[in-house]
Amino acid sequence: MTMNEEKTIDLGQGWELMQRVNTQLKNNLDGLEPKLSYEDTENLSLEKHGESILTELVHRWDHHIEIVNWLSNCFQYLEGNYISQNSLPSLHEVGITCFRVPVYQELYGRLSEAVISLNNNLLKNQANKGEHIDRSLLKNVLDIFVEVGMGKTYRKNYKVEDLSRMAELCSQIPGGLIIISRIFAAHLVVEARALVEHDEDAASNEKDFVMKAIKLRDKYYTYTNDCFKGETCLLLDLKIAFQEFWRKGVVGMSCSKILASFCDNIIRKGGNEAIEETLQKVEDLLDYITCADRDLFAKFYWKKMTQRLLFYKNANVEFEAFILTQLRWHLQPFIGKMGQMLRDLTLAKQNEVAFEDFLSTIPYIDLGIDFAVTVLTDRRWPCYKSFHLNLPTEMVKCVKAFTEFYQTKKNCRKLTWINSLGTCKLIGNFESKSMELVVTTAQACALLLFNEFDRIKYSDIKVSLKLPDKDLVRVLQPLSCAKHKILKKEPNTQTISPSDYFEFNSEFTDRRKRIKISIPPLVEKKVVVDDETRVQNRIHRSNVIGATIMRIMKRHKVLGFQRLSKECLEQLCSKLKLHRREFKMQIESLIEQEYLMRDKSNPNLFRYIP
Amino acid sequence: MGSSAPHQVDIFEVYRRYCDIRSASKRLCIGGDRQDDELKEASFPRDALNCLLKLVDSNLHLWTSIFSELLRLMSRLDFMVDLEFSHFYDFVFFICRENGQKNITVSRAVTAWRLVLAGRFRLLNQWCDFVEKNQRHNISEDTWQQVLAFSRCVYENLEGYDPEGAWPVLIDDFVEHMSRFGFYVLKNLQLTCSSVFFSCPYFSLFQGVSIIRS
Repeated sequence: MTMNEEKTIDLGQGWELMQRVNTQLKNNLDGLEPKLSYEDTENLSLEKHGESILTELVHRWDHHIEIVNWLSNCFQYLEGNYISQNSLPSLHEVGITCFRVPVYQELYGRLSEAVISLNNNLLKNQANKGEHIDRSLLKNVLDIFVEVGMGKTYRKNYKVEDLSRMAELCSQIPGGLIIISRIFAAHLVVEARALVEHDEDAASNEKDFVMKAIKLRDKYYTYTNDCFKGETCLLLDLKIAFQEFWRKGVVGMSCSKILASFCDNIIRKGGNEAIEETLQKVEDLLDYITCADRDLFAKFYWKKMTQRLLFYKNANVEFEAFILTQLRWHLQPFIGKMGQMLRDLTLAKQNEVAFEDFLSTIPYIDLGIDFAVTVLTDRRWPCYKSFHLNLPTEMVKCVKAFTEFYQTKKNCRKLTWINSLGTCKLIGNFESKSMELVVTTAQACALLLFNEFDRIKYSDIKVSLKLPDKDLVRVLQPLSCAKHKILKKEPNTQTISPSDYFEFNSEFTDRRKRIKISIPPLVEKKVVVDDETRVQNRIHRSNVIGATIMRIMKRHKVLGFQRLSKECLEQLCSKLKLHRREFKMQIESLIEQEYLMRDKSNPNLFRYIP
Repeated sequence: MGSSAPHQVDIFEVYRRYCDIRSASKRLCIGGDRQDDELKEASFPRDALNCLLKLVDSNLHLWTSIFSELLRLMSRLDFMVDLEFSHFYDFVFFICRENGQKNITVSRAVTAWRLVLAGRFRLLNQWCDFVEKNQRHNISEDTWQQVLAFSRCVYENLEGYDPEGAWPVLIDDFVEHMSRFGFYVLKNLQLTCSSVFFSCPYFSLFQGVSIIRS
C-alpha cells in the first residue's frame, strides 16, 4: 500500500525507519527534550498563564505543522491513492485534529482568557507604542484559531456582551477589526458551507434551504449591528462571503432558480401576515446576487408565475399583483410583461360575462356545454405549442361562437387556439357509478370517440384527431396505462404502440367522484435548459448594452465616460438594470473590437471609430 | 515580407523601426482637423506594424528571450523624458504579442510589467500578484496602456485613484481587492513609516506579520 512495496522493504522494517526519522525530527524541533509536541503542550501549559501560554501555543503549533507537513510528504503515495479513493479525511486534516483534540479541549477556557487579557494589555500599551511583538502574537493565535477551526467555537461561545467588548477592544488596535472581521466572515463561510452540504440530500427542498439562508443572514446581521455597531468593514466582508455563497448555488441549481421556486412556494400557500416579512427577507438575499443572476431570477419567476396563473386553480390575480409591487425592483426586466399578464386574466373574467350575455341575445345558438375562454395576449406569455387538433362538433360550435363574439369586440385580432392548455370536464358513466373526469382537451376528444365506437385502433384515433404520434402517445398513455385505466388497451402493456386497440373500460371505478388525469410533462433535460437560459441571458444582456453604447457614441462621436454611462443608464433603465462593472467590460470589449477608442490625452474620453 | 531571405535584426533595429512607423503616421496626419488625426493615427500603421511583427517572429530564434533583449534595450534608452518611456512601454506590449494576436497572455504581461515598471509603480508587486491570481483572460492593449496611467497617478495608499474614472475593470477590481485587505491598516500606519518602498510590506499583513519594521 505504501511506497515500501516498490523498494521491496518489508513493512515492519520500513515502519521502524520512519519512526526513527520522525523521532529525530521531533528532537530537532523541540530542542533537547524528545517529547510529543501536543501532549507536551498540555503539560507545560498547566502551569503557565497569560501571555506565556499563548507564546507556547504558537511555538508548539509551528512544530506540529512542521511534523504534519513532513509526514504528509512521506505518505504522499498513501494520500494520493488509498485515502482519496476511500474518501477518508486527508492526512493534513487528521494532523490538525490531533492538535485540536488534546490542546483545544483542555485549554480552551484559559486560551480565550489569555487572548482577552492580551487584548487589554495591547490597549494599554498602545499609548506608548512599545510592544509590537504582542500584536503579532495575538494575530498568530487568532490565525491558529481559524486554522484549527477553533474560530467557530471561539465566537459561538461568546455572549453578545463579550463579543461587543471584544469588538471595542479590537477596533482600537489598528488592523484588529480586520482580523476579527476575517474570523467572522470565515465562520460565516463555514456555516454556509455546512448549510449547502447538509442540504445536498434534500436539494429539492428549496423552502428549507432558503429559510436557513435567511436565518443565517439575520443572525450575522444582528451580531454585526449589536456588537460591532454596524462596522462597514464587517458588513463588507459579510457581503462578500454571502455573495460567494450564492454564486455557487446548491448542487448545480442556481441561486436565482432556488429563490424563484421559493417565492412560488410561498405564493401558492396564499396570503398571511407573515408573507410581507418573508418577502422582505427574500429581497435581502436578492441583494447578494449579481445583476445577471437577478435577470435570471426574474425569468424563472415569470415562468413560475405563468404556471400558477394558468394551471393553479387557486390563482389569485390581486394577490399576484400585490407581490409584484413588492418585488418590482428585482423583477424589472419582466415586470411589464407580468403586469400585462394579470390584466389579461382580469379581462378574461369580464369577457366570460360578456360572452354569456352575447349568447343569450342570439337564440339560435345553444352550445349545450359550459364554455370559458382565456385570451392571452401574444408575447407576454411563454411560447406555447399550438398543435392542430380535430375537435368534435360540440366543441367546434363553441369555438365558432366565441370567435364570432370576439369579432364584435375586437375585429382585427386573430385568435390562435392553444389546445395544449385547454382542460375539459367529462362525465363518465361507468357501471358502478358516474364520475367527473378532468382531462385535457385532446384527451376529451379521444374519449368522445368512444361514444360512437366500442373498440378503436390506434391509427384510427390518430386519423380522427389529426395528432402527431408523439403527442397522441402522451394523450393516451395516462388514460390506458397509468393509475386510472379509463380505457382498456390490447395488449395490456405499459407502452403505447401503433398496433394497439382501445376499448372503453366500463368496469373502472374509484372511490372519489372527481378524478383529475394528469398528463406527463414533456421530458426536457432540466440542467441543460437552465444553462441555456443562463448563457442566452448573458449574451442578450451584452448585446443590448453594446448596441446602446454604440448608438449613443454614434450620435456624439466623442463623449466622456460619465456622460456615456449616464445616458446608457437612462436608455436602459426600462429594459435592464445596468451594473457598472458589466458596462465597463462592454466598453472594453468594444475598444478591443475597434469600435471605440480612448482619447490619447484624456483616458476618460471615448471616441467613436466610424 | 521581402522576397529576399528575412535579414537579421536586433531589438534596437526593431525599436527604431517601431518608432519610425509611429512618428510617420503622426506626420501624415498633420493638416487635418484634430479629431480625424487621432482616428487615422489609430488605423494607418496597423499594416506596417504587422509586417514588423512578422519580421520579429522570424528572428525570434536568434534572440535568447524577448525579456533579456528588452532589458538590453532598456539599459540603452534614456527615460528621463516621460514621453520616451510611454513609447517604450507601448513597444513592450507590441513585442509581447504572439502570432499576430491582439492581446498578450497574463504570464507574459506580468513578466513584462515586473521588468519595465520596476521602480516606477509603487504597487507593482501587489498588482502582479493580483493579476496572476485573478485574471483568466488575456491582457488587452487598452488595459496595458491604462496600467501605465494608473501607475503614474496612484500612491501606495491608493490615493490618486478616481473611483468614478473610466479605469478598466481589472484595475477597479485590483483597487477593491487592495482596499479590502490593506487600506484600512495603511491609513493608520502611514506615519510610522519614513521611507517609501516600491514593494511595501504592509499588504502582507495576513501572510505573517511584518507590519512595522521601520
